[in-house]
Amino acid sequence: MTTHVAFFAACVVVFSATACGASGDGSSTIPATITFRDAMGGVDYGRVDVSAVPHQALEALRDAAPTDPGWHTLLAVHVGDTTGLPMLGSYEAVGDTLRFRPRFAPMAGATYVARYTPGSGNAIAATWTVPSDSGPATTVVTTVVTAVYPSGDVVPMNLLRMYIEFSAPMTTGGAWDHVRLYADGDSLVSEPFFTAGETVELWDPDKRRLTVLFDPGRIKRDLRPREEEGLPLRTGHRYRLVVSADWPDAAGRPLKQSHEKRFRVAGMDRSLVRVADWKVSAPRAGTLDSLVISLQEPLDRALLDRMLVVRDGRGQSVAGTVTVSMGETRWTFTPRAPWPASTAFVDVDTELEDLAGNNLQALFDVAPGDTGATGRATASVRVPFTPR
Amino acid sequence: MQSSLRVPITAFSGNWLMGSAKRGIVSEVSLMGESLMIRGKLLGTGLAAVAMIATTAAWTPGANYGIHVGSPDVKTLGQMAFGPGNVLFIGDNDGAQILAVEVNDAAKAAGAVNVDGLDGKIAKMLGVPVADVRINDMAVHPASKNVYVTVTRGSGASATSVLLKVTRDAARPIAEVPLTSVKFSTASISNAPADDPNARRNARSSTITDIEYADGAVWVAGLSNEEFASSFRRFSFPFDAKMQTTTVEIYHVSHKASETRSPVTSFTVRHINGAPYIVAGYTCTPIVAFSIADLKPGQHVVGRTVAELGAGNTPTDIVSFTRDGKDVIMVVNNRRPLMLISAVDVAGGKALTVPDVEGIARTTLDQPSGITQMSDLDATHVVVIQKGANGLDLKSIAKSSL
Repeated sequence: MTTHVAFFAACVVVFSATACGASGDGSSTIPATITFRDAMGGVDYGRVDVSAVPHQALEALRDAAPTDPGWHTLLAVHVGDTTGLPMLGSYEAVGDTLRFRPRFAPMAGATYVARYTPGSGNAIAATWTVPSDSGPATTVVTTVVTAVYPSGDVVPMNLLRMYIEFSAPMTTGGAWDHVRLYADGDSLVSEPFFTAGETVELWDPDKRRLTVLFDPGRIKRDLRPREEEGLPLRTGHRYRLVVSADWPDAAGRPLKQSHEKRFRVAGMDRSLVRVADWKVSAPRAGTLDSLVISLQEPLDRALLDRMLVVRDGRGQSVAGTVTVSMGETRWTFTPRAPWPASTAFVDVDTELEDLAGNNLQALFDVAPGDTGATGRATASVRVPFTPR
Repeated sequence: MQSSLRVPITAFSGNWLMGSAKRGIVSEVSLMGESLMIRGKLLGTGLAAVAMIATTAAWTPGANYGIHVGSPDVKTLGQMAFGPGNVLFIGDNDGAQILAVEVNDAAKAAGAVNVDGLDGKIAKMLGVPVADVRINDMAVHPASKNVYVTVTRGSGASATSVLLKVTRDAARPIAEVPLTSVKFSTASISNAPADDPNARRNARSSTITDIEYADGAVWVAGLSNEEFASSFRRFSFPFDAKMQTTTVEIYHVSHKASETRSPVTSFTVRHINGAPYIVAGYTCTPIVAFSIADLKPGQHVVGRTVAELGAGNTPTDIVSFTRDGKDVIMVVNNRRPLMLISAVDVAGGKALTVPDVEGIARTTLDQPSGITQMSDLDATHVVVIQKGANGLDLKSIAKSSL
């Protein structure tokens, strides 16, 4: 009778101790086999089976909880080598088989070692290296940067925020290794962004859009970071925001290519967002023509998606599609149903920001003596229009 | 809206006095020099919101606070704070919620706790290379003195969050705290945009930067990935159908006339001379203190910038503890040394009036260095996570040495 130690390999494929390089069964009177069994899918992360375990060894742990560390005296499973703490998992005895199920899915490319220590005789061990993802389905590299906002070529010196959009979900936690800002060619800008020591990354729920916030302490006047380092961007200079291709997407694949967004820096924007300046082109009544608003300045791309709501005369929101174009200076709304010939309005959230974080209520940065620093006191304002 | 009472604190510059009268300001925080204003609009009964601060809450057997027994649906485990009894609050960024979970930890441990190479040891337990382990936060169980740690295993689509505790068991110093068959309740931090059927998708999210519990209230600071607005919220605990939520936007002000918005990245709640204070670090670096007791409807709360930290630096942790009978506040910086402030000075000291001065008295500690997180451990020690030769070490440090 032979005992085997098996690990999480394919559901039907068994890597026995011998096949996986067991260190031998020594003088064990009941040789064991270790078998690694792969996952069946779902929450099954595979298992390690040790067959032909002496009854008395299992009996000694009969009352132990499945996660009791006492099981480690019989079987311990490790990543890499057998030093350090065993992996988390649960144990059970099935007949004369001792079974270990790992708490987490094995990592592709990692090597796992199972070590079975019988009460008498030598320990045996088996290893299993999880195949790396190498099938064609996982090696095709498709993820790209689809957009960077602001999309225009010119930004204010006190630009507050950029957005990087991807075609697929990305890995998080290492973003700041992959986003760089260069001035005037190849001069790396030192720490232009707010990262809280690279602990904070602002992602959308789908992990397809990263918000890049310029360090507000370097933008606002009278704060030490600005006094010491100055603004991250300087008027009259040219910059490149570079997203490196080695940034893995959520499936672990690199980007198809790096991405570069070039822009030039103009002066400070210290003006409120003013809807009075907007040019509204009313659609024709009875048609599906678009309502077009020329915003007169680029506004925040994300906020334009949700801070303008078209409502009919009764205040009900009108269904339709929003598009933003012309470097975020044009907002277009196309209704699903023809426009009635009655006055409607666009409900504008007064927290709608421009590229420098100024909104309808207040400037982003106010210093003594500033005029025109405050605006609307209401949560929203109405921009009326009447289909012709 | 989650509750009958919600206090969104929206502010603007310059004419805030006039604005506050018009818009139902709950409170504003401001003082000389850099100031902090909190103001809000009361949509329910604001007095109740304030009264809850004084309520000490706990799990009560037989009461229904929306507590479930089972496996909470959590997506990520991040910032933590212990509450009453065995209750641990955990921020779930991807799940847009705060989880309150009862951890059955009846241990009565004492003394120092030390684990060299904590991240490496955790990696072995989780079955991954150490590069695939990220320690998110640390909190000390107030009774057992075990150290709880939230960890992210792996990255991308396969990333998983784990709650672990570090004990004084030399043979097995780290154990998982399973979040299955536990007593729990949740509070949503979702601030999804209002009903716009035309939005192409809801891309807005909040990132929780810190959580603290004090006197029956859970305080949650966070950052939006879109508009530049602080979300500093206060939840009563236990969470229940009558949960009261305070949503606060904070503006800090320069030279009284100046006003800027800024979210909080780290903060602590501390009773100083019998009154609760919040000491908070902002994205644009000032450390600001304000009195919770002043957060009353229709009143302006005066807060003070007590320090500025300089460029390229973020206060990654702010903790408070008692040392030699005196309350102190420690600011852990990612680029600058530890900074120790007397709590009494925070409550009664002068505020900054110009940005290039040092603010109230503080002690800068060049050693110990490399500390990323700190928690109060017991009467004589704090526990820290510190960069060491073997990765990240969990280390107990005598308060007397700081």
